[in-house]
Amino acid sequence: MVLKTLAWVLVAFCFLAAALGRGAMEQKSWNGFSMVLSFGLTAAFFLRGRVDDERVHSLKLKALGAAFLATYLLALKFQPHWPRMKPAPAMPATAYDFISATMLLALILFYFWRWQDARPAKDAE
Amino acid sequence: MKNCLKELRAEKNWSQGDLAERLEVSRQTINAIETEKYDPSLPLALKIAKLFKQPVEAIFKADAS
Repeated sequence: MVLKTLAWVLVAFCFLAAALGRGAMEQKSWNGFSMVLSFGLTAAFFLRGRVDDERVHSLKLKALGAAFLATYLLALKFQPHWPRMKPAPAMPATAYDFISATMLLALILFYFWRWQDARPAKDAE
Repeated sequence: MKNCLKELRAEKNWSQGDLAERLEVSRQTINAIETEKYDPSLPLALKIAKLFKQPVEAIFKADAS
């Protein structure tokens, strides 16, 4: 649980640092942050939380699959040979950026489905 | 898969939290099973059956389709 908290602190630090240094962020600096961010998000996703039962495992696996599919399709859009490609951005995305996007989406999906699990059925008394 | 977990729990006057504690899972998991969003694993289904002293097939029923 302590490690998971540390992972979230790391993620928050990366977002804060990126937001504060936005104008002056160079490719090299961002790569460093991106690497740390991807590590933090991956740790936040995979480390055991306060609750770690079979439903949590099931939802995490489902969230990971959905997130991978979504970011894979997004990555295809950035392929240089894609027929209707827009011009490449000033700072092209790296593998760490896609890991970060995947893990962030997976976390969002996981917590959303977990919230839905806690809701009573629509026809509940 | 349909189940009568909610009714069995009500008979014992247990909250979802009480049942979750007895089964060593989270309250959200119990709610997910009761609202038929999630089918429990075999070990959990057997644990539920043992707790309520009923056979698994009396608690969980496959959908007609």
